[in-house]
Amino acid sequence: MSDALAPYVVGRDGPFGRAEAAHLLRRAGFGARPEEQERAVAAGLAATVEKLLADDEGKEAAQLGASGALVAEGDALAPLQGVWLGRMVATRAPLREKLALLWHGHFATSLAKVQRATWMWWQYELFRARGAGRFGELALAVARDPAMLVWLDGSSNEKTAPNENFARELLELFTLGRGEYGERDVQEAARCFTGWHVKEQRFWFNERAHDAKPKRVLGRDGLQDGGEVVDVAVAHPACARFVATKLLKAFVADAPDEAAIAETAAAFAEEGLDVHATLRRLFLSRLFFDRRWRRARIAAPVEWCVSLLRRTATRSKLAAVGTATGEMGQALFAPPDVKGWDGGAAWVSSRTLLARGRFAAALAYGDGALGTAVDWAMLAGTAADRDGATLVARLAELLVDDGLEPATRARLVAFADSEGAGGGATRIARVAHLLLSAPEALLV
Amino acid sequence: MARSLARSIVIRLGGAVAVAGGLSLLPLAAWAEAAWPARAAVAAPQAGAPRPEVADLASLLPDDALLVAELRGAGALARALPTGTLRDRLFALPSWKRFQKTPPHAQLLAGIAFVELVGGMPVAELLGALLGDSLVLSVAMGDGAPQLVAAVRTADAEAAAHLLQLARSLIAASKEEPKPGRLDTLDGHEVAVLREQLWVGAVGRDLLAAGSAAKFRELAARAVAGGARAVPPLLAGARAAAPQGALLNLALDSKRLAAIAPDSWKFPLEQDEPFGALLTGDLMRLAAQAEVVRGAVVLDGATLRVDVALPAPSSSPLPEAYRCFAHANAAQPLPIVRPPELLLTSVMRRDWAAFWADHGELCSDAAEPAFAKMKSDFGLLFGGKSLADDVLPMLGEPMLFVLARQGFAGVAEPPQVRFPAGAFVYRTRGDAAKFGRDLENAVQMGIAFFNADSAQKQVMPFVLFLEEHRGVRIVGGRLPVDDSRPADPYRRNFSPCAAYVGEWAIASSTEELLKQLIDELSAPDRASFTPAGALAYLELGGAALARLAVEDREALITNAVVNDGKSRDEAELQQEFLADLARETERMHLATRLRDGAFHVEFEWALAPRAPATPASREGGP
Amino acid sequence: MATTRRGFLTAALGAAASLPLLPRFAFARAALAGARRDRLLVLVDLAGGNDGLNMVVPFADPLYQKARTALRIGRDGVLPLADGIGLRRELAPLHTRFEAGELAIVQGVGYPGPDRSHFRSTDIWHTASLAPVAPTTGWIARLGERSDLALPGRIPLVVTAGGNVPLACVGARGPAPQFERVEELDVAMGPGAGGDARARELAALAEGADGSATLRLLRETARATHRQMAQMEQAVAASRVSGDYPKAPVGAALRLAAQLLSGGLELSACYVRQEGYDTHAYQADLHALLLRDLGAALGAFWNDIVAAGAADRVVVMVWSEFGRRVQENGSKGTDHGAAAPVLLLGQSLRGGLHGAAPRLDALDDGDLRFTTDFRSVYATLLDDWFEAPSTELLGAPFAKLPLIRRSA
Repeated sequence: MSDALAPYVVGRDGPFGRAEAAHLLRRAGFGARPEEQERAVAAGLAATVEKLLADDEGKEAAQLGASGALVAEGDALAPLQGVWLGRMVATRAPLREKLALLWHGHFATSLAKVQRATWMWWQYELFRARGAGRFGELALAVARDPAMLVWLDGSSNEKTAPNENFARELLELFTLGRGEYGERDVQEAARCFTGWHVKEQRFWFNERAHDAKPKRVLGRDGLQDGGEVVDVAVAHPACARFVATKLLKAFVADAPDEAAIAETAAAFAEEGLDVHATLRRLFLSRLFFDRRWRRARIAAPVEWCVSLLRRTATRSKLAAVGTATGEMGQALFAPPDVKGWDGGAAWVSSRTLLARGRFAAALAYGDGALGTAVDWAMLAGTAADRDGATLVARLAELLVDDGLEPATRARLVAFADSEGAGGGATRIARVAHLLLSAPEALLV
Repeated sequence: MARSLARSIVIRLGGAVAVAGGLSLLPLAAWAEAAWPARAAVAAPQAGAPRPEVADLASLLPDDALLVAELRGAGALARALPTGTLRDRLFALPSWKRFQKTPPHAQLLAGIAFVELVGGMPVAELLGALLGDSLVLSVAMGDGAPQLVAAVRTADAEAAAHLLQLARSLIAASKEEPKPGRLDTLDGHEVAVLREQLWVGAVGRDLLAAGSAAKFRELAARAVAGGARAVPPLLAGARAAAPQGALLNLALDSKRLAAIAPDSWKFPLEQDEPFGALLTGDLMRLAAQAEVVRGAVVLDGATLRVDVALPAPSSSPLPEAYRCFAHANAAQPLPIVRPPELLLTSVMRRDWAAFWADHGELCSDAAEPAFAKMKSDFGLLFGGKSLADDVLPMLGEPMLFVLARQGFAGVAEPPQVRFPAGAFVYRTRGDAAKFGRDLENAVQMGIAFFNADSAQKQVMPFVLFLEEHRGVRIVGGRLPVDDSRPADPYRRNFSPCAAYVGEWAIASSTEELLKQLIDELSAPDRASFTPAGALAYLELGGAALARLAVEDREALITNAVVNDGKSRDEAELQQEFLADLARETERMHLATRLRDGAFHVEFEWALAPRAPATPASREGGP
Repeated sequence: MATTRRGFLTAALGAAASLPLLPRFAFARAALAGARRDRLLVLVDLAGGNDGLNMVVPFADPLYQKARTALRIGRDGVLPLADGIGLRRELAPLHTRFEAGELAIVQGVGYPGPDRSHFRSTDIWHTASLAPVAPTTGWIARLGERSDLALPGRIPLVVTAGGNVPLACVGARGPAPQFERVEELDVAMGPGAGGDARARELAALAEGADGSATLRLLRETARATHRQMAQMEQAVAASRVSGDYPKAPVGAALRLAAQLLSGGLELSACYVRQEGYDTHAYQADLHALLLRDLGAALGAFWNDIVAAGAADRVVVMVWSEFGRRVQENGSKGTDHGAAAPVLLLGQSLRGGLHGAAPRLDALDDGDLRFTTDFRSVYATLLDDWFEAPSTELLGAPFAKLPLIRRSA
């Protein structure tokens, strides 16, 4: 084992206290309440990471998962988004859903063109099932997925009229990135994928349409079939780096530096591009707990909303939440194009900030359209009737893991102590609304 | 509508009931402390000769009432609740048993126990005492605000005194409130004043309540005077018109209400929604010009009946623009169809051509785009024919609409989510055969549109078929049996088709239902009719609804979880309760009828007959 | 205009702090160089393909009468514009403006190689580009993103229609702000009293310059958002509009636009859309209703603009992605066509009929042949109205039309 992603030794490199546990649970999961953070600290870093990597989603999430296929039959977007969101809120294995979300954005496919919600649901199940294993196997499975075949015109890629769409995106967006391949590679690869069609809602290898001549792709000769192209692309050194960058952007920082990328890519390659193994090393690494990368990501809309729904333990009209995340720029099952969501600063615009503000208000004050009804008095507990500082401290701990700038905290305390805040549950709701509208609330 | 008035009545009545029932939110300790005096010191009955009381409690009500209500025998009903079959049925429901395991149920039990502690007697007895042998209520308008007057004839003076003592305890415990209750004496009567909103006192065995001190004085004076006063004419009229043994009689002087508070009695004569105008246009018109509105509630064993009557105005019948509601044909028998597995069957007298012609008067400008669109869409479906000139005049009245549960007989793979089958049945005018052919063409056109969509989605299209069933020609589309393409799953619920039987044209979403309707309409001896004088009639079938609710359980629950934000447990409980309710229902119907010189809106809910309770079913619950 | 002078002025303006909210149309004209900041264009998009032939009607033309049997509009259905040409009676408010010389009708507007697909033709009109792959930015957004119009604190472009933000209003920096209802402007969301206090707190939370670069970006964007919202809210609060707008969505959209404009918001362009023009069947009633609503909405809008004293600084452009075929179809409707008229409304316009009416005897596969390229209309508005370089914004030079009256 090389030096890449060297482990974080508790004690020598730093503590594993509340702050570290909260950071880990925010990144590898959807954030956790103070009680859970305490339990993680008590259990220790290794045990917590193992628990995060474990797979038991719990009964409620499983029931929602089972209902997905039924809802998909209706071919409507919002209810389907609602089922996945509900699963994310209810699950006891959040990493599984986070990985599915990552791959959904990576192999971005949209219902708008696929048109069959059932296929989109199957694709999501594929991401869940294989998203934690070897990347090569995942990529191959995705290449044969009906939704992907329709989305990138694979189903009309024939020997007599090859369609380069899938081959190009495979190389440019799924495995290697620009600059690592040539036009010829795209053309030859496209010919390898001819005949990869859909029949009776399943992958079907159409022999008649397949170009069986041996082709040369990425410096390798004698390739005949699409599967071989995937293997070659995944084995290319640029792939580990390309995918490792995505992993870093999802779990470490919006703008990771070159050193981090190199380190992670090396580890990823060592693990044979096995996602779980790499994530285990990552979550246990010094890199992960580096202070530079704390709160270095803007929470994606889905991540943000799910985290808040979990932290406040409220019911919601999940389909409406799906629409809301769409207004914030991330519509599940309907990414804008095959590039997916850029993330980071791309989440920030007047419109999307307003949409987040509306969600924050709906959550704070209870909202008929979103169906949320947070019991602020219960969440605030003993801090409910106390002075501003205590209340703000409690809410900050619960909602943003204490991630407030001193100036912001001071303003909130001043507001909480002022006349304008009102009293009782209304006061808590108003402070919560302001807290969630602060720019810091978007950082995860 | 009389919304604000109704709301204020409900608030006052609700307040009175809540207050008297002890459901306010004061701390338990203060209550318990205050409650002990209620149990210990029951006021002794009045000494001396029994006071003469009015023979008819309702004569205590003022004559200028806008709204009067009379509840008869409710007390006995309340007292009988713990031993009645209704309670047994409720507790035998699977969803109730499930509810018993939830926290809200425990809260409910705690609340009831609390009420009993404060009231000093079981809750059914308390309710019985409060509702008494008869309860009368009136609301009048004075000084711009509604004024409430109510009286309850309790079992005896002791019961009245007990209730008054309860009021005193409430006052004692409400010392902390911004508007604490107080005791007062008016004209020699001891009066409990609650929240400066309700004055409560007793005269003999009559408990009296009024919304102001002045009103209470008047009321008490009348009660003390005794003798035989006349009942307010508004109530007298309601009693005369009410069915035998009505539990509740209600009457509203809408003419005076419209004069005093025009905003609370306003009905839109021109509606924004064409569909709404079609359904309720006549009701709106009659309600707007009604001089008095009467209501009655009858509880007959396991059947509940509610009847609202708008007496036909003394002036001319409905104007020309309303001829589409076909009131003139009310005397003719109105047929109805009842296919097996009935979910909903309905029939309406509507003259379609007349509605279209007069829609300018029945609908506002905002509805115009909807009409333009209907014209455009139907034009497409009927291949260039004009809706107003070619299609509508062929439709006679009545129109029937049915929903039935599908049996999926002969369908290889029933879909996961089962929709009910639906059909429209029209009586045609004029050349029925020609209209039948037009209908067939429309079906073909419609299926062609569906199939264009199927082609885009690469799923199974509908295949046209032309068959005969009992000598009747059917044209429609069905999904092919041996096609390797996937069927859009919901689509397996449909096989749209049409046929015409004699003078009836039928358009159905499934073959199965169409054939059932052909059978029923071909056999004249099987014909069923609605009650005489019916203008519109709608009936629900509980048994089939219960079966469908069970079949579609997963879909309904998932819908509640994803779209309504309920938790899985809540959604399951809700769905089970609805299924149970449907199973317990034998029949439910809603109708508008012209009879006895009035326009009636009738509602009836009959529970299915049950075997008598066995000891085992008495488990659970208070 | 010397480049150096323009460069200096834009730099100076850019360096200024966010502009304070100025009273009703009292803002100063940009002195010597740069696009005209005091001028406004309201885009009214008739979505679906408007039947121009039944809007500006050649009622006397026997070819028209022959082609339109059921949908024919006769002399009594129009108000006269010129010999044998009339404006639909439903657009009567616009006809009064025509008589006052404030309505310009450019006839036969289209583009070479007309595409009859909604999406493609819409993309073409919105991006002003006939390239096979449509650019990702719209022409009016490009105007709005010019540094002399997109000054800090200024909102150059607003969409007051519902639905997707149109491509015309999507710029390199993202889509323009979009509002359908006034309530959406209320940033202080939350029930109960003290909304102003909460609004102040929300704004204050966006102040400060410490923290990471990401935090600074978030705060900056939040500040810009709050400013925009506050500006628009102030405009709406200060506005005075009449109540004569029709109940249809186009009425609400134009009313909101009138509120923003009469309330003093300094905009360069506003986009409004009216849906429903894709009348393949039974066109007569539907088209009449749409035109009636359009006429009423534009009439009410113009009255409010005149009352606000801005009629010489506002131009309204009414257009559609294509016209419809000359020959009506079997369902008493019309199918997708090509050229159609563009209406322009404004006191600074040279009113009347412009361009050549497309000939009904020289059709292009059953469609009207265009006589004016729509990009000429755009170029005229960019160069003569906004005084912004059209060649740069449209990618090529186009012949201009004498639409704008040269005045002060």
